[in-house]
Amino acid sequence: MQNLLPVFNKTLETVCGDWDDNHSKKWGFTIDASRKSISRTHFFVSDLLTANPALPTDPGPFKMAAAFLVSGMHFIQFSFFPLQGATALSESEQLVWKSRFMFKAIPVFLLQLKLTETGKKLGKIWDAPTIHYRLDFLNFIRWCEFPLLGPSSPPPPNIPSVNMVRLNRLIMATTLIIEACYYLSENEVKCDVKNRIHITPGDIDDISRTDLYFDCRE
Amino acid sequence: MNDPIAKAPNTVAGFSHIIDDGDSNGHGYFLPKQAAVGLKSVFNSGVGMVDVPVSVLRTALAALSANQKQRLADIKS
Repeated sequence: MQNLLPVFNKTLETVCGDWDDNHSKKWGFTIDASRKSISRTHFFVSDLLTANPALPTDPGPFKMAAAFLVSGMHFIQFSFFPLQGATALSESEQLVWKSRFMFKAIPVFLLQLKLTETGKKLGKIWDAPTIHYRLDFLNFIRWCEFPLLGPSSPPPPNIPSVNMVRLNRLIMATTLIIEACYYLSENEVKCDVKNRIHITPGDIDDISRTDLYFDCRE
Repeated sequence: MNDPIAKAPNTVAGFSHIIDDGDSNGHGYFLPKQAAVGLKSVFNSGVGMVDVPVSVLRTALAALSANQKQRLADIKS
């Protein structure tokens, strides 16, 4: 597998920079992603996609993006820095925000990849096709945990184990989701069913409502 | 149900595959890959890197942001 650590790093650098410059004041915190945790994510993805009989030996961009997303939800550590007067985020709030940042990372990640066989770049900007899809996909990302304990210090009594069946299925399912969204992306304004959507922002819970507009600029 | 994957072992038992987690503390985890036999994908495209300036990536995020804002405006209108 090609060393994609520069892609991993640039993706998180871009997402964090965009957040700090354009959204942090509105939401009351800036962010940073630990370089060490990004390296750990890359290391895990590299391990996962090497000699894995369930996945191709030379996976393409969408499987790579799925592995990045699923592994990133586990390994990447975001730091949240409250701006003056803002309250610190709780652990559960941080997890919710982490999923949003990983969601924003997908298009940035894909734009830096190409198909080796054809040399074709992934030039379209990835997005969820509808806002309803966006909400469900964000919830899906939050569900993407897999049972891996550690590393820790002191070490746990037993070496942590990855449930490979669950993880491979998660990667494959996420691959298909990301790939389908990419080919649906038209990069133009598109509302589900204009003015007839079955979501009324005032009627949904706070987390979902924020999911809808957290990345909108003023 | 004839799903070989569902019946495959998914624990560390019998596996010797210990992967270092890259933080050089000597700890690691098991990746019992043998348990995954059977899901084989049929298409290998490979992946390569494209050196895209951060400014271009930031422009893409701005476009998505504007798109989402317009979607929400459409709902409210």
